[in-house]
Amino acid sequence: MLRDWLPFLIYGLMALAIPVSMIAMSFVFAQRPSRRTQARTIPFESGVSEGQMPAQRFTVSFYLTAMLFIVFDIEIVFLYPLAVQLNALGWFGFVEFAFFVLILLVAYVYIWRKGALDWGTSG
Amino acid sequence: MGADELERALGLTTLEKAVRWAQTKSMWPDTFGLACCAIEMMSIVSARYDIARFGMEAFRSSPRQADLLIVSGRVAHKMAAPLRQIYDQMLEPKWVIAMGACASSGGMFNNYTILQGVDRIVPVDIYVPFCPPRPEALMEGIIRLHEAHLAGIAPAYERKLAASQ
Repeated sequence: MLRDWLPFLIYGLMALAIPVSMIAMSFVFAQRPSRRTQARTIPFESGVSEGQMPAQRFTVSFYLTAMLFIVFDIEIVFLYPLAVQLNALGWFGFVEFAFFVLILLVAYVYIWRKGALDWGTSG
Repeated sequence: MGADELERALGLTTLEKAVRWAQTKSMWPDTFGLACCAIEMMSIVSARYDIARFGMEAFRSSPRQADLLIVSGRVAHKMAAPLRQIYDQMLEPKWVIAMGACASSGGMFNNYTILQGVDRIVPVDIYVPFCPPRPEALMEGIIRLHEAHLAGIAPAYERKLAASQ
């Protein structure tokens, strides 16, 4: 059965080799740049670019929400097996998971009281 | 038999020659049509004149992907700065063709607005005269550029760099 997949392996290796060789060859055949290369760091705006844009202000709540989502999403991922096999795990598993959720509940209350879930007072 | 004949007979080549050949066969121009010469430049992509046989029908809008800058049309002083910025944003190796009389020397516009020759701001490899040059004339310029590159003549910026040192 595994032998049937040999052509696919060869195909996969070819598919890897062709782009890798393109990138590698462009390093091999690269020419040394001439002097005025500062223009290449700025965005292309049909020749009228005035350099990099200054950093804009952004709402930090986006970052906080995303970060906290990751943490609690991992918690949910741990809860899925419990949900599927609750019969096999029984009361012992349930109580163990309840401790797990309790620890994370402490963390949740902390961020709630700290104001990480608020979205600012400005309108 | 000389070395060249031997090379041609056996299909051998040096790495530089092979790379130069490949660069010649896929020298993508930048979309730098400014004025009337741009019409003639557009027509070389058509079936009658067909630069696709040189692998050059892919006009790149971004200078980062272009090899060849065909300055086709009169360059006003206002346009000179964007032209120089676009030329700087191109990657080496790069070539410049001054197409038409206005790009070569200001053409019929000998006044205060038009840059009197684009070689005042960028190094030029090939000048294609006439107003506007026929598509065949532009293709002759392109073919001569290919021949020069195959023969080992360095692009204009390299020659300028070597001359200034």
